[in-house]
This record gives sequence, structure tokens and C-alpha cells, in this order.
Amino acid sequence: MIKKSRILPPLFLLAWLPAGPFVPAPAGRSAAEAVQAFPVQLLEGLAEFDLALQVHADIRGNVGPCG
Amino acid sequence: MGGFARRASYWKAYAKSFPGRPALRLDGGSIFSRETAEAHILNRWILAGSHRSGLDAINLTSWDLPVWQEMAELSAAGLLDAELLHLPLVSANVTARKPVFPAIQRYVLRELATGTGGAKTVRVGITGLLFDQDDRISRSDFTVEEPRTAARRVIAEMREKTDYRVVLTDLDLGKAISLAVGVPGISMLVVARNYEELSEVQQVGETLIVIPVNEGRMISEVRLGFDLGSRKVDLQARFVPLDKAVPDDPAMAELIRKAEAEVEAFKKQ
Repeated sequence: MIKKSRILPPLFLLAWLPAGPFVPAPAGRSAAEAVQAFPVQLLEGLAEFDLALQVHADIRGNVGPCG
Repeated sequence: MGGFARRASYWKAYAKSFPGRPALRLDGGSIFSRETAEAHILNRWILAGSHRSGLDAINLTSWDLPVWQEMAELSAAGLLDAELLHLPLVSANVTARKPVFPAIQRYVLRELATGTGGAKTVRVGITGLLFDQDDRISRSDFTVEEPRTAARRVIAEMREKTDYRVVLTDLDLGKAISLAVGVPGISMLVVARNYEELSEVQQVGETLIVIPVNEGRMISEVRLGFDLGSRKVDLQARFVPLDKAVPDDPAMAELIRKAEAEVEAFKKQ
């Protein structure tokens, strides 16, 4: 059975995501911007499972954060 | 958004949160930069990041093929660390006629212990299909088999050895759907074709079609629960946004910092 995809954040917020060509960000993050703790809500989802397939594609030269 | 550092951070957080539940890291391909002045710099770092990512499979796409060729030639000339080309590059329908090209595997197999105490073993096969839309690939340098024919053959080869079969491809969505309908035995079809829109997974017959988000902005994750007796598979597909809330993995962040510094220095020349 297929369960509805859980999408974080809500779909309408995704319109704000940049989809343009890669522009290298300034090297590193400032201390003020640095994020320390991993947001655990990103790990939420189906609790009982055997295997996760984690897929990405079309990075096309994006080595680092472009947003 | 995203990039190597945030992907690595997610992978580590997953491993910490779900010990004993394995994950496969799959790259649908089209990893390289092309047609920009700094592409030759970026692509070395893309290779370095991909190598460090511990991928389980990476698809050979028509976009990447000339750059893989270029990288192999650089390596053969001693200008690139050959170790960086030791990646699980998969393709069921392409073979290189030239000796200087990274090794291509028809498919990779993973046997994964899972469940309580690792009591269950799940066997996954992963392969790739390249789509040469305009017949641009030199047939004197490469053999490129028609995707559907190649898919039938490779799925038949994998079928008895696997419980779940993944095909990575740069076919366009219409052709991918036709493939899912026409070739039984594909459990998951990952369609990597620079789609910028967010698309829900689709079930077509027995095949789950997944369209990943491009440019490293998200990870598409599919969690699978197997009942190997009944062959029933329970699943959930989700997107993991790799925005600024996700911390950088320190080692990968250092790689990115070096890459960006080199690109900046090149642009100032």
C-alpha cells in the first residue's frame, strides 16, 4: 500500500526554493549562521520499515548549498 | 540548497536514528557541470564529493558521459587521482569500446540484514539506463542498447537474485511510464531528468516511479517494509528538504569551502 508522501515544508513554500543555475555561495557560514543541531523532525515518517532508499539526482555541479 | 555537506549530515542523522535499518544512497546521475568556464574545476570537486559520499550506485546519463570520458583521460594522463573514479557507476545499456573510461557495472547487488537483530535479509539490485535522445553518443566509442530491450534483459538477470529491483534512468517521464508498463519486474524507477517541479511518487502497475528534486535541494527517501513471504511491500515516500536548517557535515563543508575558493580564484584570473 502506498502512504501519502510526507512533504516538509508545505508545498506552497517550495515555490520559494531557488531553481536557477548554481552560484557558489560565500565560503563557509558565519558563526552566527552556523547550525549545530540536526532538525529531528526531518527524520520523522514511517516508523516500522526495513530499508530506506535515499535518492538524489541532477546535481549538475552543485557542490555546496545554493540557497 | 543542499549539496554534499547537508546530504552527508542527513545520512549521518539517519544512521544514528535508525541503527540496524540499512539505507542505500542512490544518485540518479547528471552530476557534472557543463558549458561553464569553471566546469573543469567544479567537476573534480564533484568527483571528490561523490567519492566521499559512499554511494551505492550512480547512474551513467547522457549528460555526464562526455565528462566521465574527460575525467578518465585526465586520470590516464596522471592529472587526476584514479581513486576518484572508483565509483559504483551503473548502466545496463552502455558499454565503452574505448579502454579509457571508468568501469561500468551492469548492476550492483546489495544484501542487507535488517529487522530485529538483523534477522531478515533483503536483496536489492540496482541498475541504470541511459537515454540517448538525439543519438549524440558516438557509436564507434560506445555501444548503446535500446533501453527497453536492455531493461528486459537486466531485470531477467537480477530477478532470481533480488527481492527488490531499482532502475535509475534519464529517460523522460513518458518513456519511463511506458517502460514500467512494458517491462515487468521493475520495483522502483528513478527518473532523473532535471525536473525542477516537485512530483509525488506514482505507482504504475508494480513499479513505483520516483522523480528526485534536482540540484541537491532535497533527498527523496522511500522507506520500505518487506514481508518476504507474501512479497508484500509497505512503503512511504517523502521529501527531505536540505535547507539552511540542516547543519553541514564538517568534512564535506571543508570540501565545499575548498571548491568554492578554487572557483573564486579562477574567476578572478
